Amino acid sequence: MWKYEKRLQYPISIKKKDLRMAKYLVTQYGGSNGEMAAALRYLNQRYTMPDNRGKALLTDIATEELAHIEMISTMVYQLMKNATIDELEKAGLASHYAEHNRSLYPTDANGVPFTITYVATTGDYLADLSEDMAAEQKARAVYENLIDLTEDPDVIGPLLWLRQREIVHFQRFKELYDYYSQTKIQPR
Amino acid sequence: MNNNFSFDQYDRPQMDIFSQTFLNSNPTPTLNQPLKEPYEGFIRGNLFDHLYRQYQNYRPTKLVPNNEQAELLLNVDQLSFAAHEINLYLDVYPNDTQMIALFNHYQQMANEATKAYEKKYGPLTVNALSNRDQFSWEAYAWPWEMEEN
Repeated sequence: MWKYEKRLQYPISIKKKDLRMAKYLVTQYGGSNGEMAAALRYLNQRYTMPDNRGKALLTDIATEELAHIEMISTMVYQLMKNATIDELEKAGLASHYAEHNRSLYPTDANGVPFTITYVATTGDYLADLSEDMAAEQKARAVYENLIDLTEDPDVIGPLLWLRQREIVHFQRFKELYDYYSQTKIQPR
Repeated sequence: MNNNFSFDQYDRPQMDIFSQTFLNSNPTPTLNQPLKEPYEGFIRGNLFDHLYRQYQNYRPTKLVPNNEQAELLLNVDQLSFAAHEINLYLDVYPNDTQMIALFNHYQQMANEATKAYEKKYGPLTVNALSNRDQFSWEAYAWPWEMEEN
């Protein structure tokens, strides 16, 4: 089970409304390389990890990804706060308003809703861990793209921080992958 | 909250045949890793110095609390982060005794920082509400509404 802590993993306080950035940033909420896909990917794969190392690592990283969903959601919410309909229209978010008003909804930067098809399981832990390593690298690349698209330090700070988390997670997945592949166990 | 975390299970005999094999061939622990102090590690988003990769010319954002609540929360954030980073490391290297000691140390400090915050600024978990007369879970701001730095 899970318990909620009433704090963000890293503080976020965005003072400047920026609908354009909100539209791009939402992809790390509901896009193919986003935090929701990451959390569900690891939670779904952990059951068929071959030992407690894998079960622990996927559980704990997935749990952290849930906290990253909250960080990205908070950023999108604060970037869109108090937006007028006129401003939403100018930012290309009138279609979002039509469906969701000013509430959050997990989509990519093109407005395509989140789909679980972003996530794979094969029953082969080396294949699954390879996907996880790739996912962390892709998320890191997307964070860099997003940093390139803004000049607001209140946005760049948390994005740099989240980018660094992808680097650490990649490293842990890689260490586990190397460990599993060095043991002479047939994938089940 | 991670305060009930235990790694005891790794030392027990495993019925799972895969685990049995793995327990006999531990990965080489990377001892004496250069670790940052909790604050520096937290603002970097990376406690492990050798894993840090800077993007372009961006430096980590200095987090300067501007009131007591933000200061107490930053304590919780940075100590919990340090414990969590070592937690992820120990997931892969569960037999690294130096790092287990460091995990215990930071987790203990994080628990104390959490209590200090909750005493003045409200519960961070529902569990913290026990033995209180009022249901104060919803009396304090939600994380996405806080202006803390």
